[in-house]
Amino acid sequence: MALRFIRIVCFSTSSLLKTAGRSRPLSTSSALRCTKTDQENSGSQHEQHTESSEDPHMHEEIPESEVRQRLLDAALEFVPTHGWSVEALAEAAQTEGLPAVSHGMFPRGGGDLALHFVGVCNAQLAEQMAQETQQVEEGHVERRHTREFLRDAMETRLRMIVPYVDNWPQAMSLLAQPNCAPDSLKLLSGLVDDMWYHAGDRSADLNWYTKRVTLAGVYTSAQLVLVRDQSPDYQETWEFIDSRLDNLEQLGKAVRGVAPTVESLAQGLSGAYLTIRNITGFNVRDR
Amino acid sequence: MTYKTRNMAALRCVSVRLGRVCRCSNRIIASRRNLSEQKSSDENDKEEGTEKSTHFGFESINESEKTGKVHEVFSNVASKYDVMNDAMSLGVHRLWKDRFMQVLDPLPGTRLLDVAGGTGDIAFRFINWIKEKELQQKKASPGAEFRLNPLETDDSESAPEFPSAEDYLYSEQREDTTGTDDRKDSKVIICDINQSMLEVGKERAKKLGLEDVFSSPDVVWVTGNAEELPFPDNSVDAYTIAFGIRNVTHIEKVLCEAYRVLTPGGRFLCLEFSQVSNPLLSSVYDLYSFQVIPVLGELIASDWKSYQYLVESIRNFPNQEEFAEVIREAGFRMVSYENLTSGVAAIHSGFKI
Repeated sequence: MALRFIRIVCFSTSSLLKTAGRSRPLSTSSALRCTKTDQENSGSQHEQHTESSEDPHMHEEIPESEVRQRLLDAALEFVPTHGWSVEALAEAAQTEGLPAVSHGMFPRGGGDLALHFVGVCNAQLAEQMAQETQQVEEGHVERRHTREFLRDAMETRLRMIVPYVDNWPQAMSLLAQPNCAPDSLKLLSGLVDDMWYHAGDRSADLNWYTKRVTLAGVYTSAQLVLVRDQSPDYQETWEFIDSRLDNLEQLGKAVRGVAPTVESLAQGLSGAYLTIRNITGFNVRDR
Repeated sequence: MTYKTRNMAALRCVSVRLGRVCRCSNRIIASRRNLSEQKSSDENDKEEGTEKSTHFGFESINESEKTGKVHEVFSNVASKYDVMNDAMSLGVHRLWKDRFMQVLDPLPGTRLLDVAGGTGDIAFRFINWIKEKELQQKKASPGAEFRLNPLETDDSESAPEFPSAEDYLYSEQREDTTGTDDRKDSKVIICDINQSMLEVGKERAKKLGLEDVFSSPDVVWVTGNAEELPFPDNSVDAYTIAFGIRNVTHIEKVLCEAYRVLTPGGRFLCLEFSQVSNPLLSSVYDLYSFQVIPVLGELIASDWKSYQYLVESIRNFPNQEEFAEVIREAGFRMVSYENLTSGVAAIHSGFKI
C-alpha cells in the first residue's frame, strides 16, 4: 500500500511533465465505473486495472464536448476518400481506438461533420481578421479599403474549402437539409457579420441588414462558382467575387444617387401643383 | 376432465378476469419498489405457471411423454411470440425495429450483442443491414455520386469486376497493404435466457437463409442471463436489448453488465415500451392495453396471465427521463432517447466513453 503510494508520487511529477503536450487516446476515457454493483468489489482494484500506463490521470473522463471535437477533427482527414458521411466518422473513430458504431454520437452524420468544418473555418477567418484589425489600431498597418478587405476575406475563406472542393457539393446539400439548415444559416450570418464588422461597418440602421444579406448572397454564389471552377488557381472565382462586389458598390451608389433625383422630382411636382392652383384661382392665400 | 368442461372452466376464468381488468386499469401505480416486488412475484407466478403446466393442466400424462409435451408447450408459446407481437402492435413493432436498426446504423466490422433477442428480429435486421452496406461499398467509390463528374474514376478502381471492399477502403489509406487480417468481421451474438426462444430464432434464420457458412456476418446463439452475461469485458462494439429490459429483475445489474462487456466507445441501445405523454392518446392506449391485449393473449397464445403481466409491467417501467437517468448512473454518457409513436416505445442510447 505504502509502496504504491510512493510509486504514484514519484511517477506523477515525471508523467505530468510527459503528458503535458501529449493527448490521451479517447479509448482511455471510460474507467470501469458501475457505482451500484461495484461497491462490493473493491473500487481500488478496478482503478489499478485501468491504469494501463503509469499515468495517475488515466482514469479521469475526457469531457463529452472534447470527445466530439476530437472525433470531428480527425474525421476531416477521411473526407476526401469517404465524403461527408458516417464512414468518415467511423474511420476517425477507429484511429482513436473506438469502434465504428461511435459515429452514432453524431446523429446527423455527415451533416454534423460539415457543420463542424464550416464552424472551424469561420473561427479561423474571424481570428485572422481580428488580428488585422488589432494591427490597424496599433498603427502597424494601414486600414484597407472596404471593398479590398471584403474581397480578401472572401478569398481567404473560400481557399479553406479548396482541399475539400471535390466533395463540397455533398457538404452543401447536407447543410441545406432541414436538420442542418438552421445551424448552417446561423453560421453563415455569423460569417458575414464578422466580415462587415472587421471591414469597418458600424451602421445602426436598415443598412446593417441589407449589407449582410447582400454579402451572404455573394458568398453563397461564389461557393457555387468555386465548385465548378476549373481555371488555374481558381482565378474565375476571384474574378467572380470582384464583379459581384462591384455590383454591390454600384447598387449602393445608385441608391444614394437616386435620392437627390427623387427630391428634385418632388419639388418639381409640388411647384407644378401650386402653379395650377394659382391659375385656376383656388389659391386663397395670394389674392 | 372432458374437453367441454375444460372449455367452460376457461370461459369462466375469462369472464372473471375481464372484471378484474376493469378494476386494474383504474389503479394508480405507487413506487418502483412495490412494482419490482409485484413484477418479481408475477414473474414467479409466470414461472410457476409454466412449471405447473408441465403437469399438463388438468391432464396427467406418462413420464416418458412429459418431456415431449413440455417441449411442445414451450415451442407453442415461442412460435406464437411473433404472431402476438404483430397482433398486439398491429404490425407497428416492425417499424419500430427498423427505426432501431437505422439509429444504430452499424458498419461492416461491428460486433453486436443482442440480449433478450430470442427470436432474432434485431439480429436479422443487423445481418441484412451489414450485407446491404457491404454491397454498397463494393458498388461505387465513396462520395462519387456527389462529385460533379460521377463517371470520373480513381486510379485504384481500374479493371476487376468484383473488387473487394478492402481495396476501396484501405489501400488508399494504409501504407502497408498487408491484407485483410486487421479488418474485423461483423458478428452478432444473440443471447437469451430461454432456450426455446433461441430455437425459434434459429429456425427462422434457416428459413430466411441467413445461416449459410460463407456469408458474413457470423451469427452465434448463446443462452445466458442478462444480469450475468457469459462474455468477457470489452468484447462487443454494440449492445442492443429490444423489449427485454422490462422483464429483468434488476435493471441496474443489466446496465452494469452492458457497460462491462462493451468496448470503450461502444454503444448501448435499448428499445422499450415507454410512457405516452399526450393525455388523449394515453387514454386510448390504456384502454387498448388493458381491454384488448390480454384477450388477444388468451385467444392467440392461450396465455392471459403473461399478457396481463406485460401491460402492467409497461406501466411499471420508468418513463423516458427516469430511464435515461438510470442509464447515466450506470456510467454511460451522451445518453439520449427518441420517442416512437408518441411515446408508446422509445429508443434510449448511451455510449461507454
